[in-house]
Amino acid sequence: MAKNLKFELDRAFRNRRMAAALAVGCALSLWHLWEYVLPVRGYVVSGDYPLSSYGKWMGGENYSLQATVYFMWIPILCALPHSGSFAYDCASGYGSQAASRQGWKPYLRAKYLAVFLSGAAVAVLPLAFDFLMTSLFLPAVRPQAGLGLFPIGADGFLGGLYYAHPFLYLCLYLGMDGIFFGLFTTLSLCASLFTRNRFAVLLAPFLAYMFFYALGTTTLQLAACPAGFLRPSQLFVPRWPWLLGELALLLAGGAGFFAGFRRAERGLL
Amino acid sequence: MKITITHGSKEIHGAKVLKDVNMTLESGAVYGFWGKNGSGKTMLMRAVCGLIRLTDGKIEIDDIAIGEGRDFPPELGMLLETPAFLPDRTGYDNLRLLAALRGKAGPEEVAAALEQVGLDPKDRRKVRKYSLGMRQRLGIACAIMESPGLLVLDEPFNGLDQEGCRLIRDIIIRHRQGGCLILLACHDREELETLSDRIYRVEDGVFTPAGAVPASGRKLS
Amino acid sequence: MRDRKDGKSRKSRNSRTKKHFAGIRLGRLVWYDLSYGYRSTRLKWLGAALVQAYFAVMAVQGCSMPGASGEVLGMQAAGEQILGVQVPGVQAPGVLGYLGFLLQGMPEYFLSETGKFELPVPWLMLQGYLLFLTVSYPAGDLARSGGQAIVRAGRRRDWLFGKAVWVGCTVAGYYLLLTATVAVCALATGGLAPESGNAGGLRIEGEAGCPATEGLADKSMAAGSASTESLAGESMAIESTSTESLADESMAAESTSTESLADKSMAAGSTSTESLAGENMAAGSASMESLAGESLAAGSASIKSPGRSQGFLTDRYGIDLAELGGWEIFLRWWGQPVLVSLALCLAQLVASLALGPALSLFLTLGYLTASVFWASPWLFGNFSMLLRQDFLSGIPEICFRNCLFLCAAWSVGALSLGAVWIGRKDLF
Repeated sequence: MAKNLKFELDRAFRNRRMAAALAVGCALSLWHLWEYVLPVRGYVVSGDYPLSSYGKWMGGENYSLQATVYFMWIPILCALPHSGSFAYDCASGYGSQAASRQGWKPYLRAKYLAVFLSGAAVAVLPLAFDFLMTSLFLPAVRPQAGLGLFPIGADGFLGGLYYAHPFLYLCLYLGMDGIFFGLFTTLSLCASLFTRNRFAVLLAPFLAYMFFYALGTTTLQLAACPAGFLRPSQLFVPRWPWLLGELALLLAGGAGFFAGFRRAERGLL
Repeated sequence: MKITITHGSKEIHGAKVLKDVNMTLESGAVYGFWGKNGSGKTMLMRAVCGLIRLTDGKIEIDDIAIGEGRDFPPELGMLLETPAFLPDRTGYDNLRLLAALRGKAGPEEVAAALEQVGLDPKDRRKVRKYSLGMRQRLGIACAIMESPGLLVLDEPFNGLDQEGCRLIRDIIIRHRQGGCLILLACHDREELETLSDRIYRVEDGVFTPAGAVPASGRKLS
Repeated sequence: MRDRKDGKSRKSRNSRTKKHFAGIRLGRLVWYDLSYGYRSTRLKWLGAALVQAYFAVMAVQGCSMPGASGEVLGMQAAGEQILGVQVPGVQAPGVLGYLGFLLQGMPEYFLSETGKFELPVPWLMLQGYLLFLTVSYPAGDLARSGGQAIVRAGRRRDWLFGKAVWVGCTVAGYYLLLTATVAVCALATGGLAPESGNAGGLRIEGEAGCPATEGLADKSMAAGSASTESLAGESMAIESTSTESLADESMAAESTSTESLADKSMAAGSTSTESLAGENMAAGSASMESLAGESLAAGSASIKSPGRSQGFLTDRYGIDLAELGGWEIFLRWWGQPVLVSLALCLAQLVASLALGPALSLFLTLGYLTASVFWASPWLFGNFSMLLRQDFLSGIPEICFRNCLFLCAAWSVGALSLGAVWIGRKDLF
C-alpha cells in the first residue's frame, strides 16, 4: 500500500488543480493582508492594547469579506485537486488495472487517504500562510481577555487555551480544520459510488457543508454550522456534542464508502 | 464538395503537430491517412471538422474558410476517437437527440442507420451496458444517420468483429458511390488500400501522398 | 438588365432563405438545450423544490403573527442579531410578505472590528442554489458529447446562444417555482395579497457596526413620531429617517417627515425613491444620484418607530404598498432578482467554459458574498436584496434603472466575451 499511497499522493498534490486551489486560497490571504494588516503595520496599539497578529490574521477575526469567503466556500476548492479521481478511475478502467495488481482494499485505502490529505492541505495551508505573513508585520502579542478586542470568549470553547497559549490554540484549531475539511472532501468518494458525473462528485462535499450550514442557521443551532465553528475566531461558538456528532457522521461517511463499495455493481470493475 | 488545405500547421504547447499540410480533397472519394499513433492524423481530422483552429494556413470548404466564413463544414458526419454518449439512454435515444439538432434525420433515418451498423433500433439497453464494439457501431451510426456530404472516420474498425468490419466497409463504399467525401484514418494498411482512392502517409505532422490507389478506377485531380 | 434583376432577386431570396433556415436551426438548438438541459438537471430541480419549500416554511414561521401586541417576534439570525417586529395584530403576509422575507437580504453592513459579518441565509441559499442549478450543464454538454452537439449547431456562437437561452429559461423557471411555492404558503396562511396598511416599523437590533443599531440603546425610539396618514387621498406615508454617517455620529432617527406622493415631493432627509411612473421625487438631501460618481447617501437605513400598524409589509419593512405602483412592486420583488440572477448565471456560464464549473461556482459565490459585504450598485447582489433597495436603504443608486442597465451590460458583455472565447477554443 505504501507504493500506491505514494502514487496517489503524487497524483493529488502534483497537478494543476492543486496549484489553482492553493493559489486562490493564498490570493484571498494576500488580499486580506493588503486590506487589513498592512494599513495598521505602523501602529502599535489599538486603544489600550498592542495590536496582535492573533487578532488580525484572516482566521482570527469575524468581520472581513475575505475570511467569510474563505470559510464559506473553501470546500469547493478542497475538492478540486483529487476528489474526482475515483470516479474517473472507475470510468476509465484505471481502477481495475490498479486493483488487479494489488487488490481493491489497498487501492481504496490509499485513495481515501490521498483525498483526505489533499482536502486538508487546501484548507489549512493558505491559513497557515496567512498567519505567517501577518506575523511578518504585526507582533504575536498574547491576546487579553475582557478588552473586547479578541473574538473568543474567555470561558468559551478552548477560551482558556486561547488566552494562555494562543499559538497552541492556533495549531490545534488548524489541525481540527484540516481534519474536518479533509473528511468533508472524502464525501466525494461516497458520491462516486452513485454517479460518474465528475461535477456532482466534486460538489458533494460542498453540498454537505452547505446543508449543515443552512440547517444550523435556520434552526438556531449555530454550533452545528461548520462554516462558523471551524473558524479559529469562532464566528459560531462550537459545542462538543455537535463537534463530535459531525465528526462521527463524517467518519461514518468514510466507512460507508468502504462498505458500499463492496456492494457496488460489477460495473465498477 | 471540395476541401482545400493550404499550408496548414498546428502548434500545441510548443510542439508542432501539423506541419505545412497541403492537399485538395474532392467529393466521391475516400482519402486514407496512415501513420503511427500521435503522428497527426486525428489532429488534421479535428481541424477539418472545425473543432480546432490551425495556427497557420487555412482550410477551405467550397472556397469558404473554416473559422472565417463558417465554423463547421456543412453536412458533416464524424467519428473521432472513442465515441461519447449519454450512458443512461438507449442508443436510439442518443441518436434521436443529436439528430433533432440538424433536423435532417427523422426516426426512420436513425433506425435505418442503426440497422446499417448491425444494431437493433428497438434495443432498450442503456448505452452504459454496451460493449466497446457496440459503442463503436453506435458512433458510426451517429456519423452516417444524416446522409453526410463529408464523412470523417478515425479508426472506425476499432473493437469490431469481422461482421462489423464488413458492414463498415460496405457503408464506406456506399457513401463514396453516393458522392460523399470520406476521410479515413486506419492502422490497417491493407484495409486502407482496399478502400481508399488516395493514401497519405503521416509522420510527425507531415502528410505525404503515398501513391494514388484508385480503388474505384477514378482518376483524381 | 433582366438577368441582373433576376440575379439581385435571387440573391435576396437566397439571403432570406438562409436567414429562414438559420432561424429554424437556432430554434432546434434552443429546443435541444431546453429538453436535454432539463433532463440532465432533473435531480437538481427536485433539490430546488425541496430547498424552496424548506425556506418557504421558514418564511411562514418567521412571519407568523401570534396576535399579541408589543410582542417581538422573528427569526434569530446568526449571532446575536435579531430582526424584531412589533406586531399589534394578526396580519397575513401574503405572497409579497413571504417573498420579501426570503429575498430581504440584510441592511447595509458597516465594518467594525468588534462586529461580525454574517450572511443572510435564506437569500444566500436561494441565490446560491440557482447558481448551482445552472453551472454544470453547458460545460458538461461540451465535454460529454465530444463535439457532436456543437458541430450540429452549425456555428459556435449559436451553440453558446442556445446555452444562454437555457440559462434564461432556468432562471425564469426557478423564480416561477419560488413564487408558486410561496403562493401555496400564502394561501395556506391567509391569502395571496398582504393586508395593506401604513406606517409601522422595522427595528433592526444588532451589533455595533451597523448604524441602524448604533445609538439605539441610547436614543429613544419615540413612538408616534412617524407620521402616518391614511391612504384615502391624503399624503402617502413613506417614512424615512435620515441617518448621518458614522463619522458624524449622529442619528436623526426620530425626525421623520412625510409628504404626499401625489404632491410629488419628499421632505428633506428622506431616502430617495423614484417611481417608475416617472413621478418626480424631489428628495431633500438624497435625490437620485447618477452612477457617474456622486457620493452615496452615507449610512442611511430606514428605521421606523413602532406605532400603530395595520399591514404586514408596513410593519416589517415600512413599505406601504399603496405608495408603490403595481409595476414597481413587480419590478422590486421579481424583476430585479430575476435580472440579477440572469446576469450572474450568464457570467457563470462563460466562466464555467473557461475555468470549469467548480471554480466558476466559487467565483460567483464569492461575488455574491462581496455583494452582501459592500452596498454598491456595481455588485449586483445588492439589487436583489429588498433591504438594500433605495426606498428602504437610502442608497439611491440601488434602484431598478441602474439594475436594468448594469445587468444588461454585464450579460451582453459576458456573452460577447464567451462568443469570442468559444470561437477560438480548440475542442478536444
